[in-house]
Amino acid sequence: MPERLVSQRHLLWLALGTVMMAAAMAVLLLLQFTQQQAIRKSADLRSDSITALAFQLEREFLRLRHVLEVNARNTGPVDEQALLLRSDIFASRFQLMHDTPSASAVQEQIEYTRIMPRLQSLIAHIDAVLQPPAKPTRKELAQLVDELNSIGPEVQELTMVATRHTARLLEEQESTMLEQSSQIMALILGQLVFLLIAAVALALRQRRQEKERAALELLTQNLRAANLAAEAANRGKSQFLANMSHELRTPFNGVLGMLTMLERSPLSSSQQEFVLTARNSADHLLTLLNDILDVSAMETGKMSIHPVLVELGPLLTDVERLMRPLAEQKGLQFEIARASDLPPWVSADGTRLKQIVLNLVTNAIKFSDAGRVSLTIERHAAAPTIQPRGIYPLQITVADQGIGMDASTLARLFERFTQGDASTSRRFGGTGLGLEISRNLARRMGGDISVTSEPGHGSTFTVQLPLVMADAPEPRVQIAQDVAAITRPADVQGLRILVADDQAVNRKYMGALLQDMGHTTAFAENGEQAFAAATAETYDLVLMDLHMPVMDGFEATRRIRSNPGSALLPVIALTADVFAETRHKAAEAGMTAFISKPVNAGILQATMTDLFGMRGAPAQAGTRTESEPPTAVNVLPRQGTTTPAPPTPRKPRRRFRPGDLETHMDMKMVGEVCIGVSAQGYRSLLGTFFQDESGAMDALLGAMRTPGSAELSTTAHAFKGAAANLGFHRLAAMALLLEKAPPGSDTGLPSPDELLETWAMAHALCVRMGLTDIEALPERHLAAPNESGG
Amino acid sequence: MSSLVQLITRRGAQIVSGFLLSAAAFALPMPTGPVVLTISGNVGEANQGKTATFDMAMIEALPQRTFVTTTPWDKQPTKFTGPLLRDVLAAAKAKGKTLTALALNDYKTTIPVDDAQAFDVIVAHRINDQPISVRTKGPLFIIYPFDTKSELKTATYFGRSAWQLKSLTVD
Repeated sequence: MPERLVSQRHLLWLALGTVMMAAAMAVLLLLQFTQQQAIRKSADLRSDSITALAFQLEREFLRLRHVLEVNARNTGPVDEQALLLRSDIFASRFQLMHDTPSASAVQEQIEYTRIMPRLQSLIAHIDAVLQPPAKPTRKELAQLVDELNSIGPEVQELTMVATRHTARLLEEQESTMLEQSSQIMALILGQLVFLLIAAVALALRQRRQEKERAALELLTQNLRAANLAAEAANRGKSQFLANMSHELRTPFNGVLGMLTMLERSPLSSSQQEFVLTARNSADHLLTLLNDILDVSAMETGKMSIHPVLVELGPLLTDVERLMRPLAEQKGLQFEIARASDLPPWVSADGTRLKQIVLNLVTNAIKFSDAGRVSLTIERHAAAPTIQPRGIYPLQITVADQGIGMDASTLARLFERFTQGDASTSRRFGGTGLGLEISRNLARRMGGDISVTSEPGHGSTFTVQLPLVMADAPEPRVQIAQDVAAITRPADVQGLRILVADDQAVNRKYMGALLQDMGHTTAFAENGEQAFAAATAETYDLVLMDLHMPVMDGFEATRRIRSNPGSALLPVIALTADVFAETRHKAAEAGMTAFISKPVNAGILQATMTDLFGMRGAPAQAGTRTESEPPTAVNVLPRQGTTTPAPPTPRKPRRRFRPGDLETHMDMKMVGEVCIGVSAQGYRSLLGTFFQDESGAMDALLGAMRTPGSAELSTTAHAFKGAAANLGFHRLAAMALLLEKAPPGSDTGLPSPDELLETWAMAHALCVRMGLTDIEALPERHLAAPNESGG
Repeated sequence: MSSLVQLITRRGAQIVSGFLLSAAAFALPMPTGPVVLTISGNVGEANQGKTATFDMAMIEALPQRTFVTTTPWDKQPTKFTGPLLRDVLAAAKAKGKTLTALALNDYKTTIPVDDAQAFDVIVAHRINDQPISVRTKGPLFIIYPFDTKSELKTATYFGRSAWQLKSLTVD
């Protein structure tokens, strides 16, 4: 504000100065003009001077008098001609004095008015004497001389008057000119002073501005430095966030994997619920981590779009399949409408496209309590009709009938960490990064996201993307879609799989997961080992971590591809990187498919089914019991550079069905025993029981295999007590039947095999639950099936 | 022609007109009336000693020219009549660079001979068709056609306009 005032004052001074200068110039001009006029006047005066007129009059007057005197005094004849000439000339001078315009200057003077009539009468007198036919006499001439003499002083006086008059005029003009020139000088002096002041003021102002500019420069520099520092700090934070998120994913991988394993183990219903809750929380946490990674990628400029061939149909089906359950869970209607003219194949970053749609639909579901969520995929109606060749103006509309947003919320909507407001944030959770990420992605794809909403009436998000249409690929591209295996009819099994990962926990998890799926596994700790193993042994599949010491997954894959023996070996990339460029690089290195960590069992299963179909699935797949001996697990390549496989069960893993636990075990009883003797005590009891240290099982089996044995009832009773005490109520029930059976009758009684099978199941459940370390039942109980004829 | 008739009428019996006319055609005649103009200096056609003298009749016998002009000495535009100065000089076969004009009242002014060629300067003997008396700046009056050129309306040419002209000296 003060600067503005100063500048205004400065302007005022400038205007004032200019006006003053202009006024001074005008006055100067006027003075010069009047001076010029004065000079002109004096020139006139010179050319036609009254002085000259008066002087000439007096001169002719004197010459006439002289001629008259000479003729009056001479004794000879009178020279009439000369007298006439002189009198004529004198009369002409009189006339000039009387008529000439310049004579008017003195016509007001008393001397002039007095003498002119006298001169007039004098001339009349002279004419009367001299003009023919009069003959002048000497006496008349003498009289004229007297007359002339008497008037002489006044004629002289007239000359004096004229001279004085001219002198006065000149004096007046002189003084006027002097006055004017002093005025001009004063004005010039004033202008000079003003100019000097203006120059000084300008110099001062210039200096002040210089100072201000320097200060501003300094300020700018400081600000720039501060900005750079702030940016560096911000970058550092982003980097830290990205690193942390990345680092978090590795242990988190383990957590998720183990959760998956846990899900696949026999669990009580309450345990299943616990696991489900843990799974949901983990999934949510994973989403958050992914969001943070995306945002840091955006900030560091690493988020890029890598278009590949994408089939729109399956992509949308996936979205529907993932979202419909969520919507239905909340009692919402979910509608999806696709335009009929959608191009089947487009060139786009399918993962990112799906991410946008999923984000918007998830939000719509999250912020709706009732009504309908609709997803519409169509041609953008308002788009220019003439599109560049091969461009499809896609419009995706996600509309809900949820809580909606007011204008101020809308304005902040796409900003970071923004949700509707603090209350919705508490109510609905989330990072608030999703929309920012989605919009950023859409913009990077050459489109944008817009939104309209009304509080209480829902929101409509519209994504507009110019998609590049593409032809369907000739051979089926082996890039696996992220399609979960839920819809798959059956799972592929029995593959020999090499897992390359430098993290022991990951190897363990993958091993467990794959073995659980019915595959055999071998392991490598880095790319070099993986390549060596892949060339030395025959595998169906390699699961390759990308970032490993010694040799990374890219290089290992390239080597596997270049080796004729393993060129066609499918390699699935595993990585925690979500960046599209990593996928791109993996595809370039020759990898067959790409699965992001943490590995989702469904996705892994689906990917493998995509690659292998139903190949290699054993006949018993899916059955509850597997009596076939386990496939030998050849984990060690000849070089011995791979790590040993984790302990694997001798048998293929049992498959538990929901309810198995309930059927076989009374967990309440188990709990009570544990309370009674502690878990350690229970473990000890189990060890005794399963190793049949008391021989109760042997005795019972012996009695059963001896028809009509009197021992049956007592041995069954003993076994029943042991089984019931440990909570094996199915075993106990079987023993009770045997105990109460009438001697000699075996109808409706369990066979020894059935008893053994139930025992084995109980054992397997305990092993699975980690209640016992006893890995195998005594051989004798298993080696002799069906020895008896029964 | 009218002035010639007047001349003849006025001087009727004194002179044989045929002689006069033929003499005028070949040589400068002797003035018969009072001399009104004397040209001295480099004169090729002298008729009185080394000078060429003119009476009013000889002036009037030369080709006449008339114009009306304003002057600093009159309030109204005035009509002047008389021979061109260059004709007067030619009659005297006067040659030179400058003329020195002298008036009855001893007024003296210098006129470049070129003026006589450049402008139609006349030696007027009539103002508004009336002979000019000495009292009215006569009998002869060198007058420039001031109104024809603005350069003539300056003190220089006003000064060269000598009235009561008595004689010219050619150098």
